Amino acid sequence: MKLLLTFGLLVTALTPILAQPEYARNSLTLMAVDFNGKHSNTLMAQFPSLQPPEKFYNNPLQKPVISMAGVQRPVNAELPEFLQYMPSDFIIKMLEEQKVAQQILATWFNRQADGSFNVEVLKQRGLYNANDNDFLAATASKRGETVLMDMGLKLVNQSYVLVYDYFDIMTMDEYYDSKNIDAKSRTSNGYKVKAKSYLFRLDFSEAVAADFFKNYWVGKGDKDLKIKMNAFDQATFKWIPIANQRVEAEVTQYNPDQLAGLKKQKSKEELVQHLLFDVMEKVTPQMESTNEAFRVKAMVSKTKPISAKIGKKEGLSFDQRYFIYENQQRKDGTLFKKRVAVVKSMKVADNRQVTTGQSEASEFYKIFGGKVDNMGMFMEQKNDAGLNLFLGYTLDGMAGYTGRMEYFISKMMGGMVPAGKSGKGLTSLLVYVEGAYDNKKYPDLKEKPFEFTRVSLGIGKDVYLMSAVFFEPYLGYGIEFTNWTVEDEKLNFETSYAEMGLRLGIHLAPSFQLMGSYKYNIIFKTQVKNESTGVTESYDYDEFFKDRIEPGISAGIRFMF
Amino acid sequence: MKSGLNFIAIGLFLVVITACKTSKVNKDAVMAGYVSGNYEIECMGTGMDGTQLVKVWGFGTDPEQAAYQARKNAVHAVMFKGINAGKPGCMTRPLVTQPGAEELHREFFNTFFTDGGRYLSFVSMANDGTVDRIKMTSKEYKVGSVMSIRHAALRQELEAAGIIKKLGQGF
Repeated sequence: MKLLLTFGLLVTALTPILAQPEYARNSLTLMAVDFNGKHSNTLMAQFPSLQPPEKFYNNPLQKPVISMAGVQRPVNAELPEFLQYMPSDFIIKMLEEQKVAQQILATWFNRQADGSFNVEVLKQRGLYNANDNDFLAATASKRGETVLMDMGLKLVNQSYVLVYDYFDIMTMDEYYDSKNIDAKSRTSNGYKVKAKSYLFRLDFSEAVAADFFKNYWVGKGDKDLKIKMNAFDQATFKWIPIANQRVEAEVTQYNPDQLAGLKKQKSKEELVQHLLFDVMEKVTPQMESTNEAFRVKAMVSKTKPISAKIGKKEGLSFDQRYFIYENQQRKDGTLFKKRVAVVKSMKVADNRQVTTGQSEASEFYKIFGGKVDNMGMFMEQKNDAGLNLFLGYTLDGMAGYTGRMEYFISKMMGGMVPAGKSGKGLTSLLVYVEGAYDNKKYPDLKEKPFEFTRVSLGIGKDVYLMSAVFFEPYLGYGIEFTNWTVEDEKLNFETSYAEMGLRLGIHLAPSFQLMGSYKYNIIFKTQVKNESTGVTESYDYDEFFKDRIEPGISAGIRFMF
Repeated sequence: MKSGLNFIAIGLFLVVITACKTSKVNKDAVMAGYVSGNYEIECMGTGMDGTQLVKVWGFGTDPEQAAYQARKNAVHAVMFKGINAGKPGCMTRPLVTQPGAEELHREFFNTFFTDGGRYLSFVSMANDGTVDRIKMTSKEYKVGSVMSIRHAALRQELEAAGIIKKLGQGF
């Protein structure tokens, strides 16, 4: 009874503090439904080894794969595939049949072989969840660190289960067959898969917790152990549907007979493990975007550089985007958070231990927004895909309508930053593919306009010198194509070049910029191939198109995704 | 007709001037000295021996000023209000219970609560410096922080100054 009263008091005492961002570690249980599709047994054999991302506590199940052999997948086949989701009721029924809630609560309350519960896991997880602020506030109280242990109880209500349904699983050979790809082009082996996932939260609100401690909690040696044990096993707990996700993934490797192929190929099991991990990596940002509880939040602890006491424990990765907010009050007294700035991480602290009040902070650089201070401003995770799209026009030189796709490879370079050091030099590093089209008359050569297309590849780096303004030095290699028909002979021009220059960007919004650039080209020899004779000859490009070797200036807009 | 319009114009002018002045007075009433208005304070649990663990809010024209004001409010609350909201574990009865004591010892309290004054010896942040902050208007911030107040030492200070009677005196 004393224990019940204590927990009752704790539940009421752990009310959120007004205006502070609420983030506490969530727990995630992974499971899969197996409708016995082609190759599903290969995936399901590896599924039990799949772990949730590090920012979650893991509540594993004894049997994470549920066989649905002989059961028709309950989806509306008349809808397009991307809209076909199983109803929540179907999954909830399965969760109840499999006693998933009981297994999760058994982990949280450290259920022993005799059926008794204790609070050891709750304490450990409460301590591990605490940040410096929690720790120091707790040590200022009479109860000390036990306050942090008690905080573990709040975390039980943040227990989630993610149910995977993998389908359309194909080997690369099957994929090549489906696309009628010739033997020469069949360069890789591996797997492709589609997956739908369903996220549910176990309801362990104050009322449920009170009911649990009253009716199901049983300590070692309690006289009603058997009765309460049975009651717990027969209980039905409430599941709350949160969100559904859909992803596609593939894991391949070059065949050993290919130039880039490794002689020692990855095994089928290793490929499948990577595939499952890849699906998980793609599902996680989707879950974070639709479920606020999954988005990491932290107070700004320092401003030069902008810092926050989060790190690997919260799953922070290098060059990851966060928004900085300030709470504001409307005239009617309600609060809302207003974005102040956008930052990206440049140093990720390894804080994967129980805090002692002196945790190392991670560091960030600002890409957009106003002045940031550490007097109550807080940051919140806002994932970006790292993809940019530029649309514009190039004047002079190799003029034309220009499009460019960019990808921030810096997101994958966190491992190159030495522990405890800032990796600012590696931030916002990108690779790009640029294409352009031009239609221009050269009356000296022919009356009709020439059509030029070009494509280039390169690397660049966004360098932020002041808020919202950046420049991007870049370097690349490209080829420009055109053709000319002279007296029924078609001449194909192929001119390769190196390009380098400087782009200047101004953020009008966090994901939208005005960009201009200056490009200087080093033109190599033009290869002119006569299609009729098959003869190729080299020329200087300026013998035909003198203006196209000049430097160019482009302007346009860039979207960041 | 013209004199009537002039009269209305002068009247409106006076209304505007009065409104501005009233607003200034209210602002001063909130911000000046230790007279910090109707601030919020709540108990955060039982503090270490001789301390009160509270979360208290202050107002200011910038977050630093509001945080500074919150410290004054914390000490002021333990002296004159008691901590009645929040979790159990704080003293609900203020140290100074004599009616009118604040006015009676005005000079002492003005000095005690002056900026950088002695009150700072009795209050400290009870966390890593994290504060809650709400921007109320373009020129007003509300900042809340968790603080520890040395109420036992504060009692001794007030006893020594003759503002409150020593414990046990009068029995």
